Amino acid sequence: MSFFPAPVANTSSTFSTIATQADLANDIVINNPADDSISDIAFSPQNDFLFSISSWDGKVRIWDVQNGTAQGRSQYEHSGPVLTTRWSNDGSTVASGGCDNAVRVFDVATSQSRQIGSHDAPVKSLRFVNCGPSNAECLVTGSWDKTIKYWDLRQPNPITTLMMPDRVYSMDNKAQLLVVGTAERHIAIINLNNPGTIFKATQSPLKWQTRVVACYNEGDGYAIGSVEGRCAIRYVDDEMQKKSGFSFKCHRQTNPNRPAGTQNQSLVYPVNTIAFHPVYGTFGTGGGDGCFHFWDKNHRHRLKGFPSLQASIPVINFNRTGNIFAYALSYDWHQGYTGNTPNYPNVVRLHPTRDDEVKEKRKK
Amino acid sequence: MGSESEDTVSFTVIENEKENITSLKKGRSAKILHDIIKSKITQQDYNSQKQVFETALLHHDNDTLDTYMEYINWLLEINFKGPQNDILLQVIERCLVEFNHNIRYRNDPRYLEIWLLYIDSFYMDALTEKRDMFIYLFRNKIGETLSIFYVEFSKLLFAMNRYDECYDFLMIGIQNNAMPNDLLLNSFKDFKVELEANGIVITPERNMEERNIDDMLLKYGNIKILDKNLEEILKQGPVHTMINQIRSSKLDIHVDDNDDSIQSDNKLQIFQDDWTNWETKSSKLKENKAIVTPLIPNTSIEPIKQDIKEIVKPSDKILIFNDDIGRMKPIYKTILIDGQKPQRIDYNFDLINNGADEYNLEQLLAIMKGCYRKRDTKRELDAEERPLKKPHHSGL
Repeated sequence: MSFFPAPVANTSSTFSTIATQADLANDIVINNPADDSISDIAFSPQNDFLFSISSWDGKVRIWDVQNGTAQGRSQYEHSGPVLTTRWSNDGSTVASGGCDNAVRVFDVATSQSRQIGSHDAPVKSLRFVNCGPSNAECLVTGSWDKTIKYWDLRQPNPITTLMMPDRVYSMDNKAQLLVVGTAERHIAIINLNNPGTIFKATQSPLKWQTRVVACYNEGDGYAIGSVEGRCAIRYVDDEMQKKSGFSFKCHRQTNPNRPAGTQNQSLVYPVNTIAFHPVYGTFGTGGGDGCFHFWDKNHRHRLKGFPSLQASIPVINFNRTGNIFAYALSYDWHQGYTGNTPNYPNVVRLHPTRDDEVKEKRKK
Repeated sequence: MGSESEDTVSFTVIENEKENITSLKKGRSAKILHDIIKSKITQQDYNSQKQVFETALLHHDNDTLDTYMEYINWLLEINFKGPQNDILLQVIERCLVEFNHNIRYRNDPRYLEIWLLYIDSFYMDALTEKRDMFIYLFRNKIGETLSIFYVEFSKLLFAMNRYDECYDFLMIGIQNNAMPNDLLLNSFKDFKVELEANGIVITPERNMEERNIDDMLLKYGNIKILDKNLEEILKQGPVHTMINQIRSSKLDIHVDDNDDSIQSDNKLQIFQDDWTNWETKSSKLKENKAIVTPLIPNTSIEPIKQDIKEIVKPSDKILIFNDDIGRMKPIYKTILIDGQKPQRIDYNFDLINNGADEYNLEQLLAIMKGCYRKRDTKRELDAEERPLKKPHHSGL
């Protein structure tokens, strides 16, 4: 933790699941890390403090944290807004996809970027996966052209193209599990031992549009976030699903200034992003209300809720050890163009996680 | 026509003025009229005669009321074309005021005659005012024992369709032994005949004999004060005792003022006050006079038109500038679920469910930025073929 300022001596024994602004005081703040809204944040799997940020301004920027301050290391461009970025497992390559329909990779060592392929529509999500019996690393990209494509970075054509039920909105993988969330609430589950077929096609249990999917570290299930402030905890195995699957409400508020005489209303915000802690298996959610929360799915309770930062959180992510929690605050257009004011924040913050925030609690 | 003599009245003299002659209730002497028209009284004669009456009134020579009678009669006769000015009204009111509180003239037929003349001449069309005047007389016991008062009053009340009152007052007159007796009784008979002829049924009060004048006063002297009937006011008692009672409910100190005596005192008080109630016509109308100004040639008496600028009335709403025009508030989706509080989803569902296709935020944003380009393989093929085809077409 030497990169962060010394934590405030707030190790009081009284534990609260509600955090205050003081708990965010140690965050490293990167103001205006891009010229437009942040679309994705990814950490290097080999370095605690190296991460890439993709933005709607068409650039991917690679950042480093040294002595408590974040520094831009390098950047490369797409010819359209960039929607997603990830690092290869060896930490040598950053891949990204965007509205130019292109999939590009960036070599960190040489600072060279190149396009390795393209889709027929913007690329919404990508992951480096180890698939097939050989466990070879390849890049999988999901696009609004209703396909996912597997790429060998050395070849210009995809290894395999897999048709999806609808446009890909979100995609995640852990171990041998690849889950694709698409439009019309379809969920496609792919076993990476057999990457060329959909292992299981299902529907989101949530009533409204899928916003995000995220896989458990164990690779046996996935979480879905919807636009209607709700998360579903799902398991691939039907027995397990029956036993442990559930959904819960989150990112909601009670309308504080409702008109007199009207019934109380709960304000519901979309769950924009879900990220699992790489070590503890707990997860965080970020929503349109500007809050992020840490949850423990196994004990079905919230570990910590943070106060609203008054700006939508489009993306969150943990670093490889889970001791840094990065979250962006930028306009995600969920209120239309009128919500886009010049002074809407566009910020990336790095939050040093404490165990009382993200570690699951032993049952007393 | 016969020759004009001193004794006879020549109608040729009156003929020219006959349309202008106003009638008098008691009739007008053709002889006097003839003399007046023929003699052509000048303003000077008129003024000198007036002066004679005025000096006689000043010196209280003999009976002043007699002088007044003569004066008024002279004015009536001489102004045969109707009252020329306010002089008649002034004289009559002077007379009435002078003897108003004089008990001696209360039952003087001459005094009553002047009152009736006054009522008839100057309150011709105001029936209610006429009635008020009669009630004033009744309260002040003017003409109390004179049949003519009751007869005139009953005529008015009959004209006003107040048959009960009419009956009551005739009965009061009879009770009071008003003179001359037969006039009143005849009038009473006529009244009954008239009632029967018109099929009107009245419900005369019982115990006519026991009724005293105060009850009648209460009943008919009922002038509304502050929208309250006299009866109500009498029931209330003096105001100050009421306040005491209100306070006493708190302080629990009760002063039992002799309510009955207060009421009767109060009654008298009100009637005493009413003595001064009668106003002369000029003082009644003093606020209602139109200002008379001489007309000057080449002037317009129309109201001058004003250039009135549009004035913002206080009732007009204040303009509140709304800069929401052209902007939209964030659109929400509100979901109602029975038994739960409504949920407002901070998400524009109209946009994400635009048409048949569902969109997510990133798609919408990409569309908005103009960078959501789907490569259409079909069109690309067409585009490739076209250059090949073109020369072929031009060759044709």
